[in-house]
Amino acid sequence: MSAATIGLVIGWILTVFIGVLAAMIVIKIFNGDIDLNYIISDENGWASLSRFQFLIFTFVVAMSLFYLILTAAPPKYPEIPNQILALLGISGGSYVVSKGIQTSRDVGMTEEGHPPEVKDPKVTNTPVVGDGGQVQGQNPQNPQNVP
Amino acid sequence: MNTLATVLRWELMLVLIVLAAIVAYRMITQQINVTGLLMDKTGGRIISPGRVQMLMASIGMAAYYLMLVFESKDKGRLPELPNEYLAAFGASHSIFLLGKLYGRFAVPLGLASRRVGKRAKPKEREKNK
Repeated sequence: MSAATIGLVIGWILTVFIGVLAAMIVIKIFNGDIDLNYIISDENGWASLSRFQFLIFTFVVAMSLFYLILTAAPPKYPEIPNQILALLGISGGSYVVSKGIQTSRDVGMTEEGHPPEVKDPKVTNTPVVGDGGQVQGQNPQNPQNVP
Repeated sequence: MNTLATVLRWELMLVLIVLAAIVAYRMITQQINVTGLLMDKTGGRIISPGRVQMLMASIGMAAYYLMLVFESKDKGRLPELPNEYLAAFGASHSIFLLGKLYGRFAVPLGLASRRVGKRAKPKEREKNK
């Protein structure tokens, strides 16, 4: 078996593997097994603008890259100009600084005895693991919650 | 080999588009939590101008860049963004962050009354009406 054939076989195996993995993720998101409810929310349950814009630019740059890879002949990874790195830097930097300010504010308010308002979390399919490794909201005698 | 490359490229693009569509649909139907996206969490105002301008700048910049990509003739390179747009984008984020920073330090530095942070929350206001 030649090296080219081996490369082709490995390539097809990887392609099928990535395809199945991606399909499983999409199906789990669709069924609600992967919970996206708080994808742009902060720790207090409020929607966060810095997370939202970070999400937007992640999708925009990823889509732009794949679009150019799809349309280039022969296919090649496109060059990334400095302006785009700066754009992502501003977006990511803004998210990090915003998170730092918010954490500092929450800690300060809690120390002063005025903890920040927490929005009631919604019930989701995703279990939350507590300190002792025990899943919150479940009966320790009956971890599967079988009636 | 060409078939493999084509399948892989379309597969990844399809996954990305489906993910983006799911996130967009769930945000529009509020299955993804968007409560308080534009709210001023420090002052208790329902709408914060700093947040509104940053949201508009982000969506505008994202749409403009996608348009540049689709109209680009050089497919071997991501299109460059004019420096003026980049500066405006940076300024928009700076305004948002400065507003947030002011909200953090206004009360401790005596620039605002402690009562500001205790204003009625939006839901409480609606109940009072």
